[in-house]
Amino acid sequence: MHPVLNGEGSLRLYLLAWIPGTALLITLVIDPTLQSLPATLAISVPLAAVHAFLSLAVWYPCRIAPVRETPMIRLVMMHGIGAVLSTFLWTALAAGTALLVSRYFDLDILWEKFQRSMPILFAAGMLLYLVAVSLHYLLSAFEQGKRHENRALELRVLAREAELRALKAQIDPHFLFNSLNSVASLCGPDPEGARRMSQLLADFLRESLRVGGEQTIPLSEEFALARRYLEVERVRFGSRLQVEHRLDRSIEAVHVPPLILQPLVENAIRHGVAHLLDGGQIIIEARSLGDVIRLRVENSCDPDRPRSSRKGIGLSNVAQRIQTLYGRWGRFEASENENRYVALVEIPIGENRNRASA
Amino acid sequence: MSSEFIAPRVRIVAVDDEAHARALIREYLTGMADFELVAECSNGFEAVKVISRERPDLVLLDIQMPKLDGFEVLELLDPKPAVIFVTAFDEYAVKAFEVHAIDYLLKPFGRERFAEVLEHAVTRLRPGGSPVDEASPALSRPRSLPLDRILVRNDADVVIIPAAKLDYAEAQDDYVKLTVGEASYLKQQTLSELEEQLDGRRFIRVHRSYIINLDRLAKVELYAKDSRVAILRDGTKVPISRAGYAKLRERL
Repeated sequence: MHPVLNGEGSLRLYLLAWIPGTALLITLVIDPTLQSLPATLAISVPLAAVHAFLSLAVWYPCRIAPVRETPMIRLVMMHGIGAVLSTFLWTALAAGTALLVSRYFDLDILWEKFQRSMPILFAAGMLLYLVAVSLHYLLSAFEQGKRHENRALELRVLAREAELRALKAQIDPHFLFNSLNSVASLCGPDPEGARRMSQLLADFLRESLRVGGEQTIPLSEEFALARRYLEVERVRFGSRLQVEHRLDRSIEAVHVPPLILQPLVENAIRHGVAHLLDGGQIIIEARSLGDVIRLRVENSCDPDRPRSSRKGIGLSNVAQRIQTLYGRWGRFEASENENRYVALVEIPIGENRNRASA
Repeated sequence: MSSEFIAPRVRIVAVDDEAHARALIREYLTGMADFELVAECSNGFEAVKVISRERPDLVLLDIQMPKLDGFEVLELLDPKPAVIFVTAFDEYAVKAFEVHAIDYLLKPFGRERFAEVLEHAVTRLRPGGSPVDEASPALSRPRSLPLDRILVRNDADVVIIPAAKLDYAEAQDDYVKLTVGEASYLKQQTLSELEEQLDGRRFIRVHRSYIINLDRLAKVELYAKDSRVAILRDGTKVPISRAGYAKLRERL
């Protein structure tokens, strides 16, 4: 829907501004000395009204062909042809009206004057049409700017919310209480182990609280966090937990949002290895694919495990954050095949990295 | 009862998938003369086997375990043992009481709380106290429905049937016969109970004695006047009652 037609008020305002102006212009073109004003007005006012609506119709071709995405030649051709055709029709209409009016008022002189001024009228019509085109482009640029502003604001709010949720979901209560239970169990037979376990747990908690407050952290810190987490879980699961790291050292300095990899690892344990009698393997992979980095966590899983309703809160959190931060330049995917589960995240680096939030 | 009567020690089985957690229970029990730890299990399968064999007085049952969780273990046991649930997170506490556990322990727990819970259990186990409401149907879980897997005991073994793999179920006296491809299993349950638990969008009770998986349905044939039969993908014929046909038609 045309923005001007959207509200009654805006249409009235537009007609009020456009019709008198155009009518005056036409009047001056046909009859510069204003000798037969009433008759000339009888021609110019309806013509101005027709032109006003003609100019509104320009909105549709303008919308199909936005300036920035359309080749110049196509723009010139399209609006050129549009201007010539519509102005031609409009001038023909003007001629018809002029003929009728001069007959009615019995003013042959007006008809003669009109014939003489026809080329100028045609040129003026063209000009006005092209002015309408540029005004429409201006209007759409303005509206787009407003939309972008809103979108950016929305994204910022969403990002903040996701951040908060991520933090809350971060410290999984099962993880915390089970780990504390391990500490309690170790106290009797292995006090040294208990000390080490509480150390590991404290390190992990401290570190995740710290990075949770950052906008981005180097990938190396995210790796370190995942490692700490795994060390704690290692105490609980013992040999049931096997981990393989395949990390590309060259991307360690790349900045990523915090707590993007760790939830994938946590998911691999909670919904993967923890459900296997003999445990299983987790493969953590990070590599660069040109303009994106890919983090991938693969784990063995039991296809017949119970599907709890709490499943994947951590994962959907990651998915949402990637979507909010990077839009279509980011990617999150989780898939399951027989007894392997794979979760992967792709984060743009380089020029696309702040596209979505910009 | 004579005063010289020495109460037998309370026989306990502890079930937890974490070695450390089992070690802690073992350690606590060592100092308690009235109790005897007769077995430890590290997963639900083992628990079902061992508990059926040992018939302990009391089971300390972890909830989150591989293959079968604590609630599922309990569901598969008949008769039901007296149970104390042991869990790290109290989102399950309410559920523990719904399945009539005597009590529950939240990890990590200290020696005092452990002793207290066990003493409390003993008073309920002694003659006069009723450990669990034997007749209560609530013992078969208030688990989240619809069921995504069906558990069946096959002697000592436990079979897990993902609901999607079930072709059809047939009532046979006190049992239901579950057919999964070539295999079939008997489970002690009524067909109506199973019908309630299964996903109604996928499974339809087409007859007093039959529930079919809609995904397996190939076609419906007129068998005689007013009576129809469902032909499944593998050629199996299942009778359809008039009410069953109405339900089926509504769904398709």
